[in-house]
Amino acid sequence: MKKIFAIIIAIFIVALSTIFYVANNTSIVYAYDTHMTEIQSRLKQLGYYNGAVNGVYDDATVGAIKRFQADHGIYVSGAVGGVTANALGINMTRQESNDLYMLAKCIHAEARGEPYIGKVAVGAVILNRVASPDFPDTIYGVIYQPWAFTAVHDGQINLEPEAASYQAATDALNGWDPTYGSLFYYNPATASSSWIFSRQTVVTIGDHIFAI
Amino acid sequence: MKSKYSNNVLIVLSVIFGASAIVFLCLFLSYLTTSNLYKKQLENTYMKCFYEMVEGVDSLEVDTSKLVATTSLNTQRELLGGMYNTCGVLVNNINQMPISYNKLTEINKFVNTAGGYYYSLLLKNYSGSPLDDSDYIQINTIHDRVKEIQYDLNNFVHGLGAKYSIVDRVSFNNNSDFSAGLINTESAYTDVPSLIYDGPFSDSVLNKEIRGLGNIDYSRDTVENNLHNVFTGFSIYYLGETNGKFLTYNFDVKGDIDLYVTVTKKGGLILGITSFGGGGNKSLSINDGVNLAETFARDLGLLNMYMVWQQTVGNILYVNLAPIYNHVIYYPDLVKVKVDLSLGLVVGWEATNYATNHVDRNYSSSISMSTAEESISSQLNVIERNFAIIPDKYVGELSTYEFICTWDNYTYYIYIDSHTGEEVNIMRVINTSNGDLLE
Repeated sequence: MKKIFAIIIAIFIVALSTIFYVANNTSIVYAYDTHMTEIQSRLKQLGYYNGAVNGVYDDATVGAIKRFQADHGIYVSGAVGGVTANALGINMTRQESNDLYMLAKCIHAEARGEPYIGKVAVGAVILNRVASPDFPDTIYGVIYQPWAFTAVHDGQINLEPEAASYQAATDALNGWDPTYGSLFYYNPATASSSWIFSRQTVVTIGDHIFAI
Repeated sequence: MKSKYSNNVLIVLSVIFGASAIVFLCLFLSYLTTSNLYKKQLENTYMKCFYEMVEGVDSLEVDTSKLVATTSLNTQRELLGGMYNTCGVLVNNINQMPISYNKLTEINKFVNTAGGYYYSLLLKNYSGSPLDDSDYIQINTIHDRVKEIQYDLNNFVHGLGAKYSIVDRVSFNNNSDFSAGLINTESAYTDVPSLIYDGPFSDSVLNKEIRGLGNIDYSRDTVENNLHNVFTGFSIYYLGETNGKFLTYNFDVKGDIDLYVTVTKKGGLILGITSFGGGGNKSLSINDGVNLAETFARDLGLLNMYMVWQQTVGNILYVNLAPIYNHVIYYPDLVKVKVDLSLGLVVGWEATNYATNHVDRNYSSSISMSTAEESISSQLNVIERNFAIIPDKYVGELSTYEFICTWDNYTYYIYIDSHTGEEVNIMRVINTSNGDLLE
């Protein structure tokens, strides 16, 4: 009897530990850096790195960075800051297009089932809002405005955008606006707000009606 | 024997259920603690935004009244700068409140417009001009509205108890007390004129008059026939019309690639081509792509259009074309072209600026280019000089000298007013992971 209890208690301790471990370690997260491919490539050229040039900031990459830093008298951290980047000969004036990424994410979340023109249209509406006095003045402000986009509300905004969403975002940022200044869009089959139906319709693209 | 076996099973089951209950209780408590922590953090953020908003409105009321009282240009400048910043903070706070957009339209518009107006007065102040009678009328109008908002907001604040929680009151359908209080506030100033000044954020910019299309109406058949000439070998399907800023016929053009094409009813100009491209191997060089874009524009009847900017993203080349007449670049008439370097086709076209602005106009100057160049920083190395008409937020268009300069691996575009000699715009080329941009 005592043995049975001991086994059961052991099982539950293991189960409990597993549950808390899983709850606190849902996934192993690798840091992705859009510069990382360039960093790995440069480290490989210099003979510090033998792994795959895949943009993944993994242990092998950290080790290579540390060795490079040690050899060049840079504080050994395993992370690439300005000094290390400069020593690696990586273009320090280069910036990332964060606006583009954010816009692509929202387009993907809101219009991934729509035709390409519909994706550009969603991007254009976001940029029209940025330019409008009725909305926040930044892409982030518009996208994260409370209840502005369903996909932000339900978390789909965090899906990784596909190539078509990136290109649609680039088109929109370059001035393409198939909605001609529209500030709103809605799917008439699913929209529940009577207010949205009061807006003046400009054009219908795919399943969305675009309005001002 | 059977009874002893049953007892063992019962004990085991009881232990299993008991342990499960403990596990679930632990998880539930953990979830509850985390959830309460998040709720408190959210509540604090909302409260911070809300009280900053109330304070911002109070400060705006005081500063607006001071603006009316002072005659000192320095004090006015200080006040206007502060009020412009306050409006920006207010808009930020308002837009973080848990209220849906449609219920905040007017308050957003009012604060944005007031901020834009203060900014225009600030620029006027910097040019040395004092406030005039029409400015004071506008300032008084804004002050009256701010007082109304202040009164409503303060009433709302006084009605809140110590245990008031925005998170608790907010519901998904926005029928909460919190929303209702602010919406009542909004109702007090829904009649604020939206065009209290003609500045950068006004509707008049959004609704700019269309000048570049002429007066001839094109029928759908004529437009469709013209499209067959442009897109030889493609199938063309009529999709419908658009009744927005531009009245257009819309078509699906199918061939090597599917294109969404819009053509204006007035003037029959191809206003937009949209398509997803860039797959496959590159078959055109960037120079060939630029030539293709310029030729496409010329074939559509847009003459003297030349590349003034290009950006490559993968196999897609974006080219900005501007009309260049007598060595003057007309930037307000920009046409943007997207070339698929793998297919060797124009897959994108955006001509709303051209359709809106393109008319004959003259470049003029009161100072020479060499005089204008004297105002360029001695730190910069001028590598190119051009005459350019550029869009301007306030007066529509400006005649300028364009100087392309470099400093420490950076490239700048600097525009000097060809009449006043003032620097009116400066842009820096930004290298990004998706090509070079101007900022």
